[in-house]
Amino acid sequence: MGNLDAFGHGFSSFFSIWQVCILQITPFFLAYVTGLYFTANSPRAEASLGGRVLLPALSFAPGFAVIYALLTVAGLPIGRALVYNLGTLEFIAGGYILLASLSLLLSGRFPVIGFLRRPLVLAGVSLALGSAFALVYSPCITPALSDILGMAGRPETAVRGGTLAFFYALGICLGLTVTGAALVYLLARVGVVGRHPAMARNACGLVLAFLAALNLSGTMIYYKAFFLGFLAG
Amino acid sequence: MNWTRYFSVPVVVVFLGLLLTGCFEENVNPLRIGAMAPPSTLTLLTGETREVTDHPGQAQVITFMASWCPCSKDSIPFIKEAYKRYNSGTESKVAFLMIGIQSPEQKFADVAGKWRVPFPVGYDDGDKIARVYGISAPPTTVFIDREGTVRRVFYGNIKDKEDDFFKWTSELL
Repeated sequence: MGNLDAFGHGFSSFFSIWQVCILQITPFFLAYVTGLYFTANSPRAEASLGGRVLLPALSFAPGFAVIYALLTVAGLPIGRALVYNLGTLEFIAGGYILLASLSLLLSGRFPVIGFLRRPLVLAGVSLALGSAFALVYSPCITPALSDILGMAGRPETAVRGGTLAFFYALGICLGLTVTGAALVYLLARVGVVGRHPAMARNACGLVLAFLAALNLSGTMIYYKAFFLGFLAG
Repeated sequence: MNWTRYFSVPVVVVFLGLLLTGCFEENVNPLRIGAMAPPSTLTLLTGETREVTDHPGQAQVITFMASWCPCSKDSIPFIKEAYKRYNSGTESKVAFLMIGIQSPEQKFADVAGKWRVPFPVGYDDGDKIARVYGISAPPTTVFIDREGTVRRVFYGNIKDKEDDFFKWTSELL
């Protein structure tokens, strides 16, 4: 399997009906980019699609992919250490996601938060958010990912497996980006949403806060069991 | 005032610091292929407590499953068949163990009960055993030989590797 193959498998896994597991992060990623878009508070918000959706989504991708890949390399000490401490790391990730949700919820009330929307800062915040999402995500193991994890689990092929996992995760992120851009594009054209950007932004902030609460309280397993379990049948 | 300088750099530093602190907070000795399986205590759904690898002189197959995972549920019939194959006579050749992770205990117990799993089933409260075994996604199957050495870890639906499963299990004997 080559890097491009892994990327393609990751992208196609995002759209696979078997991939209910992706719903651990998809609604929350969509809430993040949609919320960012509506922080513009402008009726002509579609003008900022690139800066408010594509920039954070593309910055999110490397942060997500690096941590995703490191979590797979069970053949290396760093991978084993990360998984061993995943409970603590999920809590930290939950705290960071809470800050991201507050940045959406409070952006209309505290203009000072506007600095978070500067392109470089927004890219950095989104990069770290990608890492946080990778920590709280437990992927479904598709046949392609099974091969990659098999490689990543053996010390002699761990680096190669980790590299493939990185590209696989980038493929997932492309799926997230395409879906996010499409959703924002559609929502911006729905009259009632476009007329109430603050309400849309707050709703998105609350959705993101829900993910934070799940991870801070250790109740993510209930979300998986009831929501994903219900969809998986 | 340059808010970027005053806020974003400390946020990144704190995040990375916490990440590194979390990684090295304990003396890590998790599972490695070719090394002895790490000791861990498991509570079975029956309420009994036992060591995960408490099968001296016997090969062992351990599957980590989640109640919500389609691949986990899809692989259960195959695992049951494999168990029957290695335990049809009076002698048990390979010990099987199923461990529920990333699920509420009752939900996992419901799945195990529905499928009438014929071998011991335990629940990993807080995913502590999964962490030691380096497992972050279900389903994952661990193959341990008669000396207690981890020979192989397979990630994914073991049903898709039927022939390999029997080959790998035979190598443990």
